[in-house]
Amino acid sequence: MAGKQVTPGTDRYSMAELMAVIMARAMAGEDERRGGGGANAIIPLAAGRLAQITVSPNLWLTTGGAGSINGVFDTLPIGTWDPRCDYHAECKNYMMDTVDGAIRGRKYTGGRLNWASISGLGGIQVDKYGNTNMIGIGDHPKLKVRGPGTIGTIWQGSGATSNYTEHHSRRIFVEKVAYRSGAGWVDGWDSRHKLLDGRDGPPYCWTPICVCDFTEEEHRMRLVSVHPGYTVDDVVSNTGFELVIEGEVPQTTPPTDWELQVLRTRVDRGGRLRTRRMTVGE
Amino acid sequence: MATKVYKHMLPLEQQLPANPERRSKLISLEEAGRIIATKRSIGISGTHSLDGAMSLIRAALRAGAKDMTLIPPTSTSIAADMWIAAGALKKLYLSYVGFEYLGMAPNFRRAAEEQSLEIVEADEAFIQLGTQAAAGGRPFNVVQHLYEATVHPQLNRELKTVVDPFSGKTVYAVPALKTDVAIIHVQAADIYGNAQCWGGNRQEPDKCKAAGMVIVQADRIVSTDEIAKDATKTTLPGPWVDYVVHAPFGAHPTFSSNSYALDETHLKLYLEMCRNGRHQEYLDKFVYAPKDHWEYLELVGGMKRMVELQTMLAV
Repeated sequence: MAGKQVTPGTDRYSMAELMAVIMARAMAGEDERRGGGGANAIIPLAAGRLAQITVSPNLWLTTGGAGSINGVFDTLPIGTWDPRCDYHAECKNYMMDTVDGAIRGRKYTGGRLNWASISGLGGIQVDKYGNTNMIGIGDHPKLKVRGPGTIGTIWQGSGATSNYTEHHSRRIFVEKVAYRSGAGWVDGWDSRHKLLDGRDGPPYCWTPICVCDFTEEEHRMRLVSVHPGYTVDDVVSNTGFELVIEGEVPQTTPPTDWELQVLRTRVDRGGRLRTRRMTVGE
Repeated sequence: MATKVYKHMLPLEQQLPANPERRSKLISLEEAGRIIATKRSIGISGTHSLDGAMSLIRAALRAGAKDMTLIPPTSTSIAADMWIAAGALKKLYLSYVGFEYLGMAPNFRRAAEEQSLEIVEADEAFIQLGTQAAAGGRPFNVVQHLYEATVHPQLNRELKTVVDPFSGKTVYAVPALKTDVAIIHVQAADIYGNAQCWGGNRQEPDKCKAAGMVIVQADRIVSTDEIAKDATKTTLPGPWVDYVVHAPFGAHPTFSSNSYALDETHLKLYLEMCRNGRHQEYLDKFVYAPKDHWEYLELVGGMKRMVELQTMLAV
């Protein structure tokens, strides 16, 4: 595989579009659930909206900074704080309600399928147990690389929250995070359940080249599928720890024409996902 | 022996005020800047690049604000980074300072790596619960479990443990985050301080309650009749607000909820200049040189640009 790639994907779709489509599929079902996102989370926002109008009619779409529930847009806002998230919203979502709900881990506010943005804007890591680092690298406070701060990654501890990253490299996927600012399965096995009152850790990790889940006992990251255009070797050579690989790893089912049509006409008419900068390698 | 005056014994006509008008809280932007510059800790609101109190921030920097402690909203961009560019910040409670899809915050990152800024490794929970504690006059707020699984207790010395007197369990205590002044951007306010925030996730009320003084900058000054048309729209009650500043397009270059879009061209200019070590040049041109808010607006494109930004939200 070539080294660094920016905005990878195929002629048919960008990698950000593929991620939005497969994350939307994962939210299929008639249960009430919460989708949307916080900082730098426009892919989960698009995925949530796509799921809502296709496979998840009872999804509550929430936005962080804009503070809306069930906003309706067909042009993807530039962030979850963009007030255009508010159009046709049914309710305002206040920060304090988010905090209270996340601490209590209640159904609608904790969410069983929730997304934590760990977009790799420098100094950000995820490890084999799904722990995340938004603080930085180096001896705190004398960090060599200063991360942007840990925002709401504390809420990874409040309930099952999937990780996603817009970059996949050995710099980001490391054996052990330098600082655990967001809790995945902590040190594996039952360590998380002991520390966090029995609350489950991340079910999945979504990246620009693959999808992983976590093994049942040790809760170590396991390769589930590899996106079209990439191979298991690409994933292994860009991951700084040993992934669990069981047998043949299938290719991620690519977006269908219908999924792309709905995404491009009813969620992201502006084509923001088509030009989203994501990297592999480096 | 002095005779005590019982006001209820005096007929009203003997107690008429010298000025029967209700007092206006409207002050000039420059005066607000001078007031802010006398303070040492500041609370700001407006998540990320939304509803930044940018006019007040520029005015405070023009008035020579320095050695400030900043309690930002749970995520922010230029509203924190610009203080750092100007060397006006001593201490930052960090939750997220960055520009998301436009990249890292250049001045924050430089100051952090040079260690010229004291950074408290806070987060969403710390900022929000600490602000709420201060808002209610409580000494601290409490978090169970969650910090147990993260590195914050080791890195953030202001996060302590305390024993829950009811259960006997050890829990984390987040200190009350009081500020000297809260500076808030709103879309509309009357001259008595009744203010409407038309969007966002409502971090403003707690930020105001946690502050010793509240200054709002309003895109529009409206009549009290307009405010009274729908009292439920008043998100900051007049009694909380000390001063009101009229600053049309005052959130520029950030978004103003349901009013105008962020000026991405200008933000990119800011980032480009700051990333190339030209932050002082940026400040000289856009913060210190303009003699007032109107001159600033002319400098960044005037009425034509402002209407363009408004129109971006009208589609």
